[in-house]
Amino acid sequence: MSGAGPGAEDVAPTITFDNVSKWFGAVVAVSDVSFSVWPGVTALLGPNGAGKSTVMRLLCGLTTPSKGSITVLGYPPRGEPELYRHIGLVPQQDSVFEPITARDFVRTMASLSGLEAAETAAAQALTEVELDPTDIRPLRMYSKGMRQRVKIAAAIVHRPQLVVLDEPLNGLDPRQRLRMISLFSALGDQGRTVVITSHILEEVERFGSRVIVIAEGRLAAEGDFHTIRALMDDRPHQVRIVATPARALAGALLATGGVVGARVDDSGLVVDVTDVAAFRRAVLSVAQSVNARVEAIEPLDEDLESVFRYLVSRRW
Amino acid sequence: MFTEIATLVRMQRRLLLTRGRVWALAVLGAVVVFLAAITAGADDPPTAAFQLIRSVGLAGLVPIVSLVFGSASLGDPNEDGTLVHLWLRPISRWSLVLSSWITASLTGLMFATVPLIIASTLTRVGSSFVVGTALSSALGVLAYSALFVALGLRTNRSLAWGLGYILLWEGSIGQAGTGLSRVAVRTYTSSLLRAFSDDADVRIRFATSSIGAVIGASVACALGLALGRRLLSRIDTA
Repeated sequence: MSGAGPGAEDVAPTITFDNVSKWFGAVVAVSDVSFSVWPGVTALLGPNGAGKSTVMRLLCGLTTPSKGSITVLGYPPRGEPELYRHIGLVPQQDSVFEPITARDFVRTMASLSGLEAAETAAAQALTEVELDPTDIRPLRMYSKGMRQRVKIAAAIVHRPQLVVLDEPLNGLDPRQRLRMISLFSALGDQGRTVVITSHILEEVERFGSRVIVIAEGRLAAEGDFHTIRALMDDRPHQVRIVATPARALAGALLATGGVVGARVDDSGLVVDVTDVAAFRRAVLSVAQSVNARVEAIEPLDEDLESVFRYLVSRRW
Repeated sequence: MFTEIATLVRMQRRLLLTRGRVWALAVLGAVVVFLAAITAGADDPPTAAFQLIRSVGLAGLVPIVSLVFGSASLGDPNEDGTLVHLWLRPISRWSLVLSSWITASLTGLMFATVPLIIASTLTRVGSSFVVGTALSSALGVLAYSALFVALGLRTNRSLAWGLGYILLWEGSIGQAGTGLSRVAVRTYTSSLLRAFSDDADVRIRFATSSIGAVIGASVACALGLALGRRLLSRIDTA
């Protein structure tokens, strides 16, 4: 087990995954994953289909692990309804109870969570997500972003110790994104454990959080955001350069040391570089030194998928 | 537990009563009422009324209405992913199943038992027959709803499976032999109605006593609820 949080020796983790695997028939969704999560904001980062949602479902007890064990607040999450008093979940799917109002929905959720002042708590939670508690429109008339905020209100209305949010910023406009990010950070600052999934690196950066990277169902990396960012930046990047003469430029670039590999094909010169920024600064002057004419420079693997693939291959 | 069941029933009632269901089932009920009005002019009103309520009401309207509401009460949320909002609350799984059964039963009583009471009144056979119709249809709604709540959790095609069950088991296999008829809800509802229809010139081949009917339907109901509870605990929620 490795930690993603501070003071592991002082504070018990809220969530512990111990060699957890989950498969659906022949499809392995999560493979031998171990990690712990402490109070504060933790982001579960990974590309679509990486297994993030399965991890979320496992930690909320919505499905059982095929192998390994999970504890949440000291208990296995499956079949422990009393534990759900301390968990709030924003599921990824858009569905809500369409015929009822936002206030009815959140009030019902508060009431089912055992709150006596459910009406007041519902109004407060809706206000926190910038929705009007007096709105009489049924949820079927709400936009995707409004529904998302209703789900967030329902997840936090009972002030749970653990808030689990599966892609919570989907459908929100930039202003609402900032507002929600600030709300999640505030929950973390209050000592609650907030787990957020995302497939967008820049989004995770804004949470200022600890990060667990899941890719291809495996734990690819974990640590604070800057550690993960550094890992991602350390990988070799591929850059295509359309230049003539390509071979002369390849030799000159290899001689600089910043380029660790080069090949020339029909599309141009493809080089492997470790520091893209430094490479971009140097390439034109190197080209000038060998009288090469550069027509285009383009990165080949800047998408997040390739970053995750790199992290997985590096770990296994 | 009672507070959470009441809360759930209030919400589930609103989810179940969609415009489409209300109209379709109201029309179905109106057809039975219309047929009853015609039956009032038959040569042997008690027998004709009994046959109508038994074959159209207890064998058709009651199980179909119960199927629509029972299978949808937890089946719809399970299918569209909203079940997770209820599942992840600190409430017992029994509360979820019981509230769904109560909601399905209440709406079933409204859309099956009420039209049948009106229909039996229109046949002018007598108050005893009306009471028999009310009790037997209510018994059917309670038992069928429990079974169909479980069915809704078991399969996404609960309407097709439910119709198959109503037609094949309740309508054919369950009426084909003494042993099998004891495990058909329709036997219990028909037997109870028969006990209140002294004037009708009919004989039910596989009848049971009124107490036997109530016990049999209660067992079906308990089995349906227990199965629903088990399925809900084991389900992989979306």
